[in-house]
Amino acid sequence: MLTAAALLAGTVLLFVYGYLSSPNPKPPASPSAARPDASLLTRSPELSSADPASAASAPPATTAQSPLEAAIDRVLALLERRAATPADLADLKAALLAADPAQSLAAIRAFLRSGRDALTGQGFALGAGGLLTGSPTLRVLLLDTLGQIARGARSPAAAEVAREILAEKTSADEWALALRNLAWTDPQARPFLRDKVREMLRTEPWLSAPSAGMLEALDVVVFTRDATLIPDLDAARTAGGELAHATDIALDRLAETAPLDVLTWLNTHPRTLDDRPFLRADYFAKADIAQGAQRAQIEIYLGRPDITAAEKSKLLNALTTPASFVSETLLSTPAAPDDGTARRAALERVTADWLKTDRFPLLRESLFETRQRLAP
Amino acid sequence: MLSRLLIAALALSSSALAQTALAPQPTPPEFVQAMPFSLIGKLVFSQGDDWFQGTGTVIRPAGVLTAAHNLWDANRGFSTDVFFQRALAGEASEGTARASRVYVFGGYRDSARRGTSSDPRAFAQDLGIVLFPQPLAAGAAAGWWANPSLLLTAAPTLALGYGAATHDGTRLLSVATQEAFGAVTGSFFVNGSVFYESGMSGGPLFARSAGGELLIAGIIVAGAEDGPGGGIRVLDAAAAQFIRNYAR
Repeated sequence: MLTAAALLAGTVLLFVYGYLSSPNPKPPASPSAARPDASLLTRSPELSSADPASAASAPPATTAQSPLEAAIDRVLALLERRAATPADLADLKAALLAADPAQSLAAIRAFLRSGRDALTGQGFALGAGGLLTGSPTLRVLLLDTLGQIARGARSPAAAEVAREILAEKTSADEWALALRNLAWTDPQARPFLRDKVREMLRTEPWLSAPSAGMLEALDVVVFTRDATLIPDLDAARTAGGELAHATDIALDRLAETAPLDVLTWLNTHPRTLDDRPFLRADYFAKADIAQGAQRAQIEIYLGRPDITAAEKSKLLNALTTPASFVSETLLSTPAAPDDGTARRAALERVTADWLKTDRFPLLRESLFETRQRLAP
Repeated sequence: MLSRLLIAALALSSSALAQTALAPQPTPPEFVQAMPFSLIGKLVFSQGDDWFQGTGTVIRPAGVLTAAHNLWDANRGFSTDVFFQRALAGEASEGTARASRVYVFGGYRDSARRGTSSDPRAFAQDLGIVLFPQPLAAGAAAGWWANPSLLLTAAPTLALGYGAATHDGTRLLSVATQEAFGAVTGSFFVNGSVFYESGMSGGPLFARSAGGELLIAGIIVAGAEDGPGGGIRVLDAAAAQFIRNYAR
C-alpha cells in the first residue's frame, strides 16, 4: 500500500534557480592593506601587570588614550580607508579578549560612546555559543566582544551598554547583540527582553527590510520562553519573505523549549494559526506526552471541534516522528540529540489508554494507525 | 535594460547547458548491491495530504543523510511517515524502515525556503538527518568527508538518486561530472556538465579520496534539466558538526 501511495504521489520538486542574480556581498578588504601597529594590539606591560582590583576602577577622566582605545581607533581608520583585513579585525578582538577585562571594557565603552562606526565588509554570522564569526560593523564587533568579556568577568558593563542601545532604535544588528549581552549578564532581564523583542517585532522599518541580526534576534523569543509573544510572531510573519521563515522557526523552537506554555496558549486562543493548520500540528507535536499537563493539552486539542481531522491526523503522525530544527543560535540551546525512543514509548502507552477508554471515538482509526506506526 | 540582458544571457546559457549536460542513467541491479552504493535508498514521505519521494544515504548505522527540503515544507511543516527503502532496485530492496526522529539543519536565516525557491541561498543549508530505531545495514555506513576543495578540481564525482521525473523512481540513477563544481554561494555548488532528476534530491555525491575511497562530499539539492546544472549542498565544517552531533 505504501509503494502504491508513493507512486501515486509524484516527486519532490527540484527548482530552477537564478543564481546569477545572487546576493552582492561587499568587496573584501584589500589584502595589501597596511597593518596596524602590532604593539597596539597586544597587551602592554602596563596592562598585563595591572592589579585586577585597581583595574576595576573607572578610567581616569583625562583625554589620554589607552593602548586599547588606540588599537580600536587604528582599526577604525583602516576600515574607513577600506584597507582593513579580516586579520586586523580578528587581531583587535583577540587583543581585547586577552587584555585586562576592565581595561578592555573601558576602551570598548569609550568607543561606543563616541558614536563612530565603520562597515567591515563582513556579514552578520553566528558561530558556536552565540558568538559572532562575522560582524557587519565595528560597533557590532565590539558589542560582541563586550558581551564575551563582561560575561567572563561578571561585569555589569555589557548590561548597562545594552540598556543604552535598547533605548533607541538605531540598528537591529546592535539590538540583537544588546539583547544577547543582557541575557548573558543579567539573570533578571527576561521580562525586559520580552518587551524589547516585542518592540522589535513591531518596528516597521526593521520588519520590511529585516537585517540578519533582526532575524537572529528572534531567538530571544525562544530564550524568554514566553508564549505571549506568539501573536507578535504571527503579526510579524505577515511581512513575508525571510521574516516569515524566521518567525516559523522561532515559533517551532519556542514550542520545543516551552511546550506546555505554548500548547496552553494555542488552546486558549483557538483562532491563532488556523491559517497554517499543519504547522500548528507540528507545534503541538513538541509535547512530551509522558508529562501529565502536556498530555492534558494534547487531549484538549484532539477534542476541539474546530480542528480538522486532517490536522489531528498530522499531529498523531508527527508525534511518532519528533522533528527539530538545528543550527547555531544567539541564545537558546539547540535540541539535544535523541532517537525518539522515550517519546514513542510514552505515546504507545497513552494511545493504548485512549483506545481503551474510547476517549476520542472519532479518532479511533487514526489512533489505530498511530499504534501501527509505533510497532517495531 | 541590464536586467533584460541578464535574463537573455541566462536563457541562452540554460539552453546551451540543456544540450550538453549529461542526464542521470539507471544503474544495473548488481551496482545497487555493491558497497557503498547499497547504502543509498529511496525516501518516501508525506507532507500534508500528499506523498513525495527523495533519496538518502546511510551515514551512521541508524542515520540517513538527505536534503532538508525532503523533511520540511514551509506550508505543511515537517514531513511525516518517512520511510527508507535501502538498495531499492525495481521491486526488490534490502528492507523498508520507518523513521523515528528527524533533524533539519536550519536556523532563522537558513532553510530550503530562504528568499524564494529560485534563490541559491535556499539550497545553501539544505541538509537533514533521519534516524531509525534500528541499524539499517547491519551497522555499515557510508564514508564522508567535509572537504569542499575536493569538488573544485576536474576529478569526476558521481551523483546518485532515485529519479522520478523521466524514470519511475524505483531505479538508482547515476551521473558523473565532466568538470569541476563551482561555488555559487555559501555551501551551494553547481556543476554545468550534469543535471539531476527530480526525486534524486538528498542523494549522495561521491568523490574519491587520495587513497581511492569513495566518500560522500555533498548532497543533491537542485538541478533540473532546464537549469544551469546540477546543484549540491557541499559537506563543510558546519555539516560535519551537524552529522557528528545528530546522526547515530
